Amino acid sequence: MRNTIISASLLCVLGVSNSALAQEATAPMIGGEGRAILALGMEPIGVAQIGGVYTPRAELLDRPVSVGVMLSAPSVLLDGRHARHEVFARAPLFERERFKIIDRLALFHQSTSNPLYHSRGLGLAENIIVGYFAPRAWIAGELGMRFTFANHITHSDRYIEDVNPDAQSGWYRATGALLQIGAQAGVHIADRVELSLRAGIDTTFRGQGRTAPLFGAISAAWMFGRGARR
Amino acid sequence: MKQLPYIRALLTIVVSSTSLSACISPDAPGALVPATVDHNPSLPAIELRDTRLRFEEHGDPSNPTIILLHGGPGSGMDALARLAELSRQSHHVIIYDQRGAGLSRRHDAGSVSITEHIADLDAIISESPANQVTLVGHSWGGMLAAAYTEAHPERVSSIIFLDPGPFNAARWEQLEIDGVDTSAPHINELLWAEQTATPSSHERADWHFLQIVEGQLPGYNMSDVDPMPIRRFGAVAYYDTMTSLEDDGGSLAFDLTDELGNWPGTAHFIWGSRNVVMSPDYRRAQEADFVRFTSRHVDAGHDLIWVTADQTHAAMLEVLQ
Repeated sequence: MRNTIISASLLCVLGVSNSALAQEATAPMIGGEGRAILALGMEPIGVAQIGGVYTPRAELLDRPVSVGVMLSAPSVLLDGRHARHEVFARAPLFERERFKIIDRLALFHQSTSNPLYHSRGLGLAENIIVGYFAPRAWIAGELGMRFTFANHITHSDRYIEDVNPDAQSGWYRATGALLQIGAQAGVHIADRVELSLRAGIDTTFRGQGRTAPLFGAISAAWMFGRGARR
Repeated sequence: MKQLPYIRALLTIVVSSTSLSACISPDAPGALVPATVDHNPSLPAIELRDTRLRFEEHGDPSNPTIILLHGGPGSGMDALARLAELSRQSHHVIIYDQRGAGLSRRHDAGSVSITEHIADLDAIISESPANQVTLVGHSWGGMLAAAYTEAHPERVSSIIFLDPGPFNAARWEQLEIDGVDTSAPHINELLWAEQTATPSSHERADWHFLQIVEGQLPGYNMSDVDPMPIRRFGAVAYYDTMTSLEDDGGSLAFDLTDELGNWPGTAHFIWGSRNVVMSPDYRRAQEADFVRFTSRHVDAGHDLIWVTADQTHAAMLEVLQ
């Protein structure tokens, strides 16, 4: 009814908050090693993801730095208007035998379109991953932050005509930020195949939760290059 | 020249910061969602208790007073505007955006409740020229009308319920709401969009709420071509009000009907016949809470207050006369 009880029932399920982003979860890699990744995530809507990560042989500040890309889209909305493109870098900050602290920094672009507006946002994501990494399996916890620092919003004609004649289309700043806490684990199920799970909860920085504040992903990675048969 | 990279980095930061500061703030009044009465002085408003409400009066104050209560909780009076316009010929009509709803003032989370809504309504009635009023409540507005009548039965001469929401928690279960289809495109659009505009302010939260309002659940059978007139939906008002109907465990636990059986007035029910969420059993149970009641139907869904406002107004006039 776009009103009372409809909203009640709908929002009991949805809430009015943000969703966390599924992202790749892989073991630390050595120089010359790469992963091609296929993942299905819940944010909490179903999301399909494809991407890859590669670690060049050359190190930066004596550390192997992995770089990668991930492309994501809601599995129900594969129409090109709703997508997320992410480039990222991962590097160990601290290592002691199998215990590692890994930093992941990403720049993302995300677009969406609905009857009210069309938007394209740019943001940064920072995750710290702390875990125990054995040669063929790992388990880790993570703490993350995502911040959309600029978002170009174009209000629809209908929205301007019927709802808000003063609506301003253009670049908006700081439209979103959220905090993520989660865990991930992975195992090599074959010489070149790595399976991983990632799950957690999220909230905005002001503490607004949502009714289903969960995210998760299951991903399969095909390993290639040096060290892929570890 | 060793400083050149640092100067370049500093310039980059300054230029980037300047560029971002030139961007629109998502919380700027009016930018994303229409400004409230606190930021748009052209809106008719009333100062009341600790709040400021968008408020309109129509018609001759010497005529019987009817107060129209919108749904939501959190939506606004725009959906009732047509009924108000039709009713002004015969009645003194009061219509307003409830606390935290529509274009009324926003309040911090945790400060809106059904108790506050009742107190606001009581203050409005106290300031009106009438000793008694007729309450007209649509959906959630019907629940508020029942709750107010239970608290202040002497102030209400009659009630017109337009597809009212449930008067107690148990009856909520009788609503035949289909499960939410999480594969529905608009739900996916909504959740996807929430990633880049988190609801950390009233403006952003209300903006998201409008996307939800755009969505349809089939049982209410509302018009696709004549969407609900709405300017802004108060997200905090919605959550706070619903929370105030829950027990400590988060389950709905309210009963607005304890004393209604003793109320001497007449409750008039006007139902949208195509709204199948409110089943015949639900309707009968709602009506049975009153000693005196009448029941009518108009050929509409839950949108009977705007799509078929003429028919609904005609039914209202029948019972008011």
